[in-house]
Amino acid sequence: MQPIIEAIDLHHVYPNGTHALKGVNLKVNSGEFVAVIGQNGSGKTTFVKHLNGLLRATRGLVRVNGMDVAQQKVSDMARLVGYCFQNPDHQIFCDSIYKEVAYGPKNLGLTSSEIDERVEEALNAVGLIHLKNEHPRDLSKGQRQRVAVAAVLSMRPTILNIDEPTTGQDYRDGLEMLELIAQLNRAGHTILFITHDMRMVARFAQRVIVFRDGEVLLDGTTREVFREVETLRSTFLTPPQITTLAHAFPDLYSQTILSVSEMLDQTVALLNHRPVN
Amino acid sequence: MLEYIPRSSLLHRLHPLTKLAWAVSVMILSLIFNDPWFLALLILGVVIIGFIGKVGKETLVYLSALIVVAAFVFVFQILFRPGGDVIFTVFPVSWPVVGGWLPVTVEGLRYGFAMSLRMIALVSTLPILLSTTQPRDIVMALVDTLHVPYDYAFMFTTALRFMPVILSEVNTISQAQRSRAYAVEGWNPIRKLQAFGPIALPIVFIAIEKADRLGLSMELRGYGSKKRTYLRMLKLGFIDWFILGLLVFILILSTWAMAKGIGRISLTGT
Amino acid sequence: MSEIVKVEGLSFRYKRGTTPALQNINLSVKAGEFIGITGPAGAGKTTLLSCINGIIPHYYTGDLKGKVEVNGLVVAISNFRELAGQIGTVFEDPDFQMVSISVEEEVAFGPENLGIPSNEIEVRIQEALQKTRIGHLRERAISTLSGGQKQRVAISAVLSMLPKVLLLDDPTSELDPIGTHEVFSSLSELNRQAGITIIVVSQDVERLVENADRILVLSEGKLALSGTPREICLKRDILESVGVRVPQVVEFTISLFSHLGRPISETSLPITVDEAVPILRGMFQEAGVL
Repeated sequence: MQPIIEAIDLHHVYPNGTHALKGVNLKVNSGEFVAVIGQNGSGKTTFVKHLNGLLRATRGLVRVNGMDVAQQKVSDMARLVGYCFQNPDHQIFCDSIYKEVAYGPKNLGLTSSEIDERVEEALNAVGLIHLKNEHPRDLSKGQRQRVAVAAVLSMRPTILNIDEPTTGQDYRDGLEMLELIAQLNRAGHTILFITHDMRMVARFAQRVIVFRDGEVLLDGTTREVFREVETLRSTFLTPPQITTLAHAFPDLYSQTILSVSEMLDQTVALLNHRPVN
Repeated sequence: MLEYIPRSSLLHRLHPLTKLAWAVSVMILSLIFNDPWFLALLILGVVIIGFIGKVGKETLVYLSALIVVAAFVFVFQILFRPGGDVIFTVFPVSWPVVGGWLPVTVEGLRYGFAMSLRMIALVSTLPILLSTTQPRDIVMALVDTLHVPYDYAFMFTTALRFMPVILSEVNTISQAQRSRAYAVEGWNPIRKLQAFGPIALPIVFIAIEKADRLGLSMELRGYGSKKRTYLRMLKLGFIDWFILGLLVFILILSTWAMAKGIGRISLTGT
Repeated sequence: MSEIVKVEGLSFRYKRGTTPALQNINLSVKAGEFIGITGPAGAGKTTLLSCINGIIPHYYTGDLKGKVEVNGLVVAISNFRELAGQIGTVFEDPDFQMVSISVEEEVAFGPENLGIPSNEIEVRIQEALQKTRIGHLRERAISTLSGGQKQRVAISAVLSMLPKVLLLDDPTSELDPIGTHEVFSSLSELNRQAGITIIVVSQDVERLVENADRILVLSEGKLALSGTPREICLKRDILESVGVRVPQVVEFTISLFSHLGRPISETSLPITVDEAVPILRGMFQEAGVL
């Protein structure tokens, strides 16, 4: 099966000379739920912005759905790859949620009834259909974030790139946002989300890509990546607390622990001298 | 180029007032004289001073960017300045209706050169001033010595500080909207106007919100009282007085020259 | 130890608000304490900070009841100049709380506003930068710094006014993990070594639990919980009901002990990984697993 996203020897040098990506090679298959992590300046955001053509490769190749992104316009890539920015206020400019979510489809040149259909669909997906005539500025930050997601969903992209879905939010809103994203993944979207929140990574991501200094430092399943404690530490990243706790007993916990309930089950089993599955 | 560049040079050591006086003098001179040769010499002088300040290369880059604007001014002045001997006309005389329109005259050429050089001269000192003087020192000179109200001086330097930040926000907004298939193509003016909203509205909203937050942060740190001090209270040194004296001398000399008609050419085609 | 911040019966409703933002808040902070404030969005955390540093009622008006005093000054009737010498505030956004181009200018800004003589300003700058360990960044342009460095500049810019209390409103939410670590390390050092009273609003429960002497949990304008980190962590049910989570180590230990029918008290509750490891080891050894 051909990967839906492919980066081959991808380099990016910013106008000011910063060499932000130094030969990145990655493949993402359709339907994957990937977390992209790393310190600020590691290249993670730079990489993701190449997928819809916002940034162009200085050297190397980026293919999405088999197409060379360099040959496509950003407005055309929007049909395939959606990018949700961290701050919804960077996007929101209409006076009603409906218009906001309709903006993307309108730019794609769809008919009025098609636009209607997509707006309804997108607002339903994020649970805001009842607020469709409200002014976005009257909503809470968490709600505006969901409006921003809906505004991208309405273009029906196969791939969704989400920049820091939980930063600056409280626990509940952040969790709801990630559950929405998980739902979208189950519905078939390929998801890449950039985040600093290791607990959310452990809870939701199937695969984790770690960036450091413009290169891919680690790439594997969540368990595989969180096992590499020393490597993560070299870029000042720490796995979730519970994972770190289990790492203190490497001979007892056979697998990298990703959640409190896993830790609980395995610890109880250990204490009862039962074999750990 | 509009940011302070820390280097060690004579200019960096001068009092901001001296540099301000120099900038103003250049502006006055560029308005007194209108002979293109004098104006070109003036600009050359500014460039030399830029090199003395070790920001010569940056000055040249800035001026070359100005040339584009100057070229517009040049063409505009030539075409719409009547009078004098016609060299050629943009629309050949043989053409029907528009034949002979938009004459290019000798006076027009001279005027074009003069105006575009004047324009360059007027703004040429700004980057040198800003790259060799720390904003805080400019504020101090304006407020403490020239008694400019603090708020105005402060507004100017704060605007300088936030320009790159705002530009970066605009860039992010542009990327966000382009990700939603926002595209500004073609020359349709109506589309161009519509395209304004998705970029302008978010930045205005964000800027207002953040300005509010910034104001708060300033007030909480005691901003707004009459009596304030400065970390660096610079004093005019011997070199500063010498240069100020020199500038006064040059200005007097120029005024005399102007009265005598030196450095001025007749631009009215009579 | 003296009481440096006193909040009595504080209630507040914004001018355009339909519901009260704060209801009957009582808080007493002793000099040198490290206080953490947490709670879901809209709980009133920022409003509470604003009532302590004077933003309410001097900047935002509304229906204010109760009394707030900082080091003896009544906030509602003192002006910002008077308050600036007692209390400094650091905000969430690293970029839009600083006005200057260079670090040095920014840290000088506060004292300059207060009319402090030049030579004393110089001393204050040096000390403030040293306290946050960014002396080497003095000549740098703020725009070239990382998020964590910027926030430390913001902290220094406040410290140069020699406040007794440092308020911080979600200072690390926009930062990457390194930045968060740098800021909290600075805060911890400031509190332990320089004795500065610190009040931090944050969603980062792990950091608050690690560093704070006391934690306040706000929900819907009311004080839902108040106590030492351990006391708070034991009240998991209340925390969950208002939407605040506990550190994973705490969640795990409480669940484990409950499953095993063991009682758990404040003294035996681990709140960090370092505390949990020996407890877990002890249990494994007891069970003959280790």
